[in-house]
Amino acid sequence: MANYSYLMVPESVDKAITAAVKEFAEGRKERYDIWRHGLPIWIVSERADKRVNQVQIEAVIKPGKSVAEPLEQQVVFTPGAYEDERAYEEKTALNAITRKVPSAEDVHKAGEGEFLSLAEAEDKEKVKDKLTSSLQKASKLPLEETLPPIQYATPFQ
Amino acid sequence: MADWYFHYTSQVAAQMIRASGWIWGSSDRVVYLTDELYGTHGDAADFLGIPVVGPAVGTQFGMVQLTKPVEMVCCIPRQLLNSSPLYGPYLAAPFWDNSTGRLIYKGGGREFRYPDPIRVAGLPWVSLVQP
Repeated sequence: MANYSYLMVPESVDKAITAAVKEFAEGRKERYDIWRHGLPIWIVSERADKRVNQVQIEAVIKPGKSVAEPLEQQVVFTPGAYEDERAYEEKTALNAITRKVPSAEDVHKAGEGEFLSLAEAEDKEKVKDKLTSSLQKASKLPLEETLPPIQYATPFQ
Repeated sequence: MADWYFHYTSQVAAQMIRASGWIWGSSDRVVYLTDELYGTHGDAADFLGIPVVGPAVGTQFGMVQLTKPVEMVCCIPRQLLNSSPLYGPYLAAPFWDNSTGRLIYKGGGREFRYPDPIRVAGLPWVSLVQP
């Protein structure tokens, strides 16, 4: 289980991140997501041929390193990337996706230092800067691992 | 195009949707749908890359995190989605644990986005039993 929870962010932070993500994407004309599921999560995806570079922006609350330390409230930026090979077999109606991803170690390393305090995240420009640096890191992640095939039967290609 | 689309959510969210009769979507007003009916919580969460944890709440024992389970499916006929364009399908993105870098869910399911709230009063729901 993850050692963090999502933080219900103040409206100022919510607005700043949402605006930063939208402006960033509009300026570059790349596909982007603002994906919330009722949680403070924004996912920005950048398509480059088959490869997708992505940053998960999440407002989280984490325990401190010891009992004496307070809970930490942060907006974390997690660089990630993946590449898909997709095949559809009409005879069996099987959709098969081979997805390559970076190793957990590389993702963890790339995410080091990629966070803002809640107060910093009220500044749209700081969010955009952090998003830019995280996406750059995402684009350099080697896709070393191939996931077990993602397969499911579907009548839709 | 499929005849039915499916919206996966938790029991708590399903209760609120049933009470209001609407799926309002997220704060940017996008409702996430798929044309696949998955048989278990695990498959739905894994294929659609849905986050595992929910928001934190304060209790007498300190901060406690809520889980973000996938338990219910709202079945929506295509005819109800005619007022706006349905975007997709996209292959759902994977979801990473930001604290460890570990991949939690691999994604890859067929995801659609609908830009408006959907009136779902009286529509059938399926309860996913197996984790």
